[in-house]
Order: sequence, then C-alpha cells, then structure tokens
Amino acid sequence: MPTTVLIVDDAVFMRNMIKDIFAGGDFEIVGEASNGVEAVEKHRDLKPDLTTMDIVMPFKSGIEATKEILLENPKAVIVMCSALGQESLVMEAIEAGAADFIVKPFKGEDVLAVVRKVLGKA
Amino acid sequence: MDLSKYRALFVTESREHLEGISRDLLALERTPGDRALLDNLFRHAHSLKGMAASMGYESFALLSHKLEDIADVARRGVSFDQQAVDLWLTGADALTDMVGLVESGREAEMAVPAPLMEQIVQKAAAMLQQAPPSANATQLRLTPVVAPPPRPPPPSTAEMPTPSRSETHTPPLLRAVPDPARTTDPSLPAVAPIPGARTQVMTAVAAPEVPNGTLTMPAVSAREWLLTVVIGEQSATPHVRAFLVHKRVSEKTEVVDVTPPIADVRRGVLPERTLRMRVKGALEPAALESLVRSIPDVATCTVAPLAPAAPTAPAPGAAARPAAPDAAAARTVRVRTELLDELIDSVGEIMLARARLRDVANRLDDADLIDLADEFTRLSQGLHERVMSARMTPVSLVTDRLPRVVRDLSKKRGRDVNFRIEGAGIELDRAVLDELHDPVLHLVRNAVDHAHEGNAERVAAGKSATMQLTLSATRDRDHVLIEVTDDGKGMDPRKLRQAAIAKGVISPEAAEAMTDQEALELVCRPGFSTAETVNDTSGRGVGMDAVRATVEHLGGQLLIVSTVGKGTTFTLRLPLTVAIIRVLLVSAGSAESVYALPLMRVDHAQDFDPGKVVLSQGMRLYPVGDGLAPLRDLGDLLGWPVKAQVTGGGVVVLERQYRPLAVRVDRILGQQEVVVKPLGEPLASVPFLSGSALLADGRPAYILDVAKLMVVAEASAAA
Repeated sequence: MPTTVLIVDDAVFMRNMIKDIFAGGDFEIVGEASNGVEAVEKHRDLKPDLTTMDIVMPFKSGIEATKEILLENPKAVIVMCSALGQESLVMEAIEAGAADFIVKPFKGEDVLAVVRKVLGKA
Repeated sequence: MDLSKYRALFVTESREHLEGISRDLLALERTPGDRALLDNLFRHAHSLKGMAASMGYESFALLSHKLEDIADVARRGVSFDQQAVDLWLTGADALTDMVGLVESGREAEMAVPAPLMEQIVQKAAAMLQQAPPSANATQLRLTPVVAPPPRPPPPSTAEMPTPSRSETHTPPLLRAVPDPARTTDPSLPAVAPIPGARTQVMTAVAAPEVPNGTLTMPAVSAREWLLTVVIGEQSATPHVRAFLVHKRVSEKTEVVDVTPPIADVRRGVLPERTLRMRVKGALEPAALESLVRSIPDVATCTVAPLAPAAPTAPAPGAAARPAAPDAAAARTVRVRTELLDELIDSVGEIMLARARLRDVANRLDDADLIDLADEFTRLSQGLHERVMSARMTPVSLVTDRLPRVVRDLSKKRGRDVNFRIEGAGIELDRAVLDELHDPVLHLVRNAVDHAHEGNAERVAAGKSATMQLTLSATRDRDHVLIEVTDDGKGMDPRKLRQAAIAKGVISPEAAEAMTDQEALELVCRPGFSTAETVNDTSGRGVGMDAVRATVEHLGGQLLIVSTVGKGTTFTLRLPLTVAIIRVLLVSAGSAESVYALPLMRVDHAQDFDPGKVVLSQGMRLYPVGDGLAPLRDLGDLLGWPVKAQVTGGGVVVLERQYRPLAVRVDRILGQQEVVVKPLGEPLASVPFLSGSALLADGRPAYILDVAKLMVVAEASAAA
C-alpha cells in the first residue's frame, strides 16, 4: 500500500515541487493544506502516514499546527520544511514531537532520503 | 530536478506576494505597528525567499531574506518607521523587476543594487539594536567587580568574574586551540612552546575507548557508553540535526551528559559537527548505534564502553573551565602552523586536480570516469573541510583578553562599562583571527575612550551611568559577523563633516554632497582622525583606517551604524576562511592574461554596450543601477597598453563603500573557486596583485587587489 501524504505549505509553488518529488515513488498525495488551521483539520480527516509541514503560514503557523496534531495523534509523522534561519523553530517542533526536518532549498533525493529514513524504509 | 517548469509558477506566485506587499505596506502606513500586517509582510518575504532559493535565484532570495529580517525585528516590537516602509517599497520594486527578468528568461541578469542592499542591511541592523536583548547573552559585569563564585553557574545566566571565557566547550577531535605561545591568558592550557616555531595545538582523541577527558563525568558506573555522533557535511544545519539525535537518544535511554551542552547546541555551537553523549540504560550498543544511524544526515556513529572508574574525571565544577594542562597535553599533538598552511596548499592542489579531472571526464563522456570524478570530488571536499576545520579557532582567541582591557581602561577613565561577549565559541580560520587582534582591540578601546559620555553626562542625558558595550560573534552562512555595539553618544555626521573640512581631508563642497552614511565613514579615512582632534567632535578615528584596511585585506567589510545619543555599532563581516575564494575571471590588456576578481568585491557583470557610455566633464561614465559610475579600462588601470577595442567585451561593476566603479574588460570568462597562492618574488612588487591561482585548465590567473585598484581609480579620476 502506498504511503499516504498530506502536504502543508502556503505556496502553491512549494506544494507542486513537493508533489513532484513524491511522484513516482510509492506515495499517494491524499491532501494539501495551505495554512495551519486547514492542516489540523485535514490531518484529522485524512490520517495520512506522513505530513510535510511548512513553518511560516497564515492563520496558524506550522509549529502550532504540529503541536496540535501531535496532541490529537501522538503517532503522527510530521516532517518540518524549514528555511535557513529557522533553526530554533525547527528545534521547537522537534521538541514537540516532529519526526524530522528538511531545509529549503531542498533536492528531491534529500527529501526522499529523509522521508524513507523516518518511515523506516531506508 | 528540472526547474524550468516551475518558472511560470514562480512568476505568478511571486507577483501575488508582491501585490500583497504593496497592499499591506499602504495599510501599515495608516495603522502603524499593526501586528497582523507585519506578520503578513514577514510571510510574503519568507515565501518569496523560499521559492527563489529553490529556483537558485540567489540575489532575489537574499533581498527577500533581508526584507524578512526587517519585518521580523518589527514583529518583536521595534518601530516599523517611514524609512522601513520606504526601503520595503523600493525592495519590492527591485523584486518586481527581477520577476520580470525571470519571466523573459533573463534571470541571469538579476542583481540587487548594492546601495539598496546596504541600506536594507543597515536598517535591519539598526532595528535589531533596538530589539529586546537576547536572553542567551553571557553577562560579564565589570562594575562592581564580583567575587568569583565557588562554582560557576551555567553560562546562560552567569555573572562571571573577569577575565573569563564566556563560552566553553570540549575541544573536539582535531580542533585547533589557541597557540599558548601567542597568548598570555592564564586560563588557556600552558604548554611549553617549541622555540622559534609558531605552532598550533591540535587535540585528538587517542583511542575510542578513552573518553574525552573534558567531558565532565563524575564516577562512572557500569553499563555506560560514550556515544560519538558526527553529522554529515551535507546537512545545512548540523546543530539542529544534533539536537534531533539527542532528542531521539534521550527518548530511548538515559543521557547522563552531553558535549557540547544542549543549550549551546541550540545556539548553533557544534564544533567539528560532533556530538558526544554519555548514555546509560537499557539499550545495547548495537541497538543504540542502529537507532542513531536511522536518523538522516548522521555520518558516523561510534559507541564505546566507558570504564567504571574514569581516571581523568575532573573534579566537580570543572565544567566551565578548560581542560587541565596535563590532560590537554596528553591528548594533543603539536603541529607547526606552517605545516597546516602546507596542508591547505596541498588540498588546494587536489581541488584543482579534481576540477581538471571533471573537465577531462566530461570531455571524454565516459560514465565510469564521470562516476570516479564525482567520487573524487566528494572525497576531496571532505578532506578540504577537515583540513579547514583543523584550522578553525574560536573567536575567544581574540576576545578573551578584552574584558580585562575594558575593565582597566574604564577604571582609569572613571567610566562605568558593562561589557558582554556573545558567541565567543564561533570559529574562524586561524589566519583570519590572527589579523583581528588589533582591530577588535581598537574598537573596544575606542568605545570606552570616545563613545562613553562620562558617567555624569550619561545620567544627565537620562541614561544609566553604565555604558552597555557588547561584542558579539555570529555565523552568517560562510561569513562571521563580529559586532561591537555601544549605547554611548553616537557619531554626529554633521560634526564629522566639519572636522573633515577643518583637517583638509575633504572640501566643503564634497562634504555638502555626502550622505550621512558617507560622513560616518569619514572616520575610516587615513589622516582624518587623531584622538585630540576628534575627541571633541564625538568622533573616534583612532586607528579606524587601520581597522578598515585590515578587514578589507581579509576580504571582509566594515559597516557602521550610528545614531546620535543612542550609540554605535561597528560590524566586521569576515569570510570564514581566506585560503579559498570565489572569483570572477576576466581577461584584459593582453588576451593571454587572466585576472581574477574576488566575487565578494564584485557587484555584478554585464556585456559592454558602447552606446551607453556617457561623457561628462572629461570622464567616461556608465549606467549602474539608477545612477552613473565612472568607467575605466582594466588594462588602463593596471598600466598595460590599452587595445583600441571599441565594441564587445564586458563591464564588471566593483563596489566599495557605496561607490561603484565600472571596469571594462575584454572578456568575462566566468566564475570559479580558486586557491589563493602568494606571489613569487618578482611579482610580489607588482601593484594591484594580491595573489595568484592556478585555473582548472592549468593556466595561471592573477588575483587583483580590488580595494587598491579602486583607490587608484578614484585618485586618478579626481586628478
């Protein structure tokens, strides 16, 4: 069964790029969210195997969304998509239980390597 | 990844953000300080930065990054004033122009006007100064002198006696520590110097079963392991990686001790990309190792059993002190400084051979050979990083003595100063640090001597009698920023202009034409300032010309931000290392000669269009950004015979302290990373050459001293 993925990012550009990275692998994009509020709701509905989470988003940041999702579902696997300069936010997310992180600008193979390791499919 | 298919999306989505920016900026003018609007601005800039970085549009990403900085500081309560609005508007215009270039497939031409960039950077710095101070700062209070506490509390809150290292951490594998022969700091390991030789002490862990002696371990009980994790070079944020490793390990087993302390890791301290943890508990070494290895970006992971009684376990309280002399000596090898230099030279040759190998492999188009070349590239990069890191030395080498200097001087002058040092653990190439002793000393002394108003005057001006003086070191990608900030009287551009006119340094007309920023930089003019004359005019020129010359010689920049009555920040922006630089290769004069211009001094390069040349008062000018810059031929500047070439060629815009210079060259050959080699005897006396380099194709290139070149260009233009 393919790994189900929820992509959270306010930029269509980034969402498309991440979708392309996952295309071809054993993944199925089950949903997209463009802000933290949507992310929490969609995660509840879709229960994806994996969520990629942008940090800076309108309405609710990726950090807050991550915390809420993990509170509801401690087994959620969330990979933070961060940029250089957001190190302390990423560490906050890790402390809250985020599984791992990738740093923009990222390469497809790096994203997949992190995701596979996190899912134990390396 | 093929990025071209994202271009259209980049254009449309960037435009949406840019429209959002102008909307939010206008709204912000009506409701200044509106938090939601500031959040929006931050988010727009952040999204733009992320997209641009993904597309590889560096200037675009950098500009949006700096705008993001301004919004971020404003979100922390600093006023987003009219100047900030203006800079944001201009910045957004520049970004809009760049989006237009992307749309028409001309992204290679993207460039941010240097003066705009500089203004934005300065604004961000000035606003940051008004931001609430960071809670992480190590306090070093000088008046009154506090008696040494029996045991130093954690550095984050400590009020330490002077002199003291503000940050200490374990010397990791093969990290250079300051040469004891070159310092008198009693807190450093005292190792007898080899007569006549400049040496650098390197620490090395002898065998995996020997725990690092500076880990602060009380008695060790059974079933404890030393877990050493090295984060791979591919990780852009190794300390976040290390933080994650620590989190994962501590979820499974008890972590008794960790080096560097996790609070330091949070702040970005991770020397040698290495995390050492003393762990005990249920997990067997194999399970521990496989747990760690399942984490991305972990390069190596070793688990070594710890002996029940650690023979080198230091006494409690030793945590904040460097290793005892004998312990340090037991674990270090002495390496001649020259050997380190030779080592980097050899590595440089390997890097060049690597580039040639790639060339050959690509030409032959042989898959096996290309694979091998890639492998060789990876290995040589690893070797390069290792050799470089062996040369890395903490900033504390130059800052350790400063608290004492400030204390003595402030006592002598009867002026109270609270001096703090932040980020002394940040590392720089030893060659860079060696040059910084005097500049840093100048800046700190000058602050006490000239920035401090005097206790009574400070109180009269409604300030605390104690001047806050901070030296902070921070890493900014491949640069280190050393900032010296005071809350003293600040420098008055008006008075600096008057003083410069009085000294005959500039004409009254030139002074009139100067911006305030340019006036501030008068303090760096040779001959401008001596203590007697400038004291009265709130200047502080003592040796500032030397400070700037040193920083520029290292390929760095000196930035000054000052507000009358509020204080001054001097920022030294320094490259991490000087041995390898990125250059723009050009040819001029004779087609066979290749010249290399350090990229950090190049604003941008473009094709030469003779139709754009403007003649004014006998000078040739060329459009640069919104203005005009003097146009000179490189061959002419170098004193080589000029070829009468009217068309073709390129223009390189060099930038120094806000004054651009357009230099015409015969051809622009491209960018490359080169290893700087010193010039041999006959060439060493040639002006404008600062070194040489071998190119990938085996040809030599001469590295030009841009600072000198620009001084000469200015002088000859003025003549």
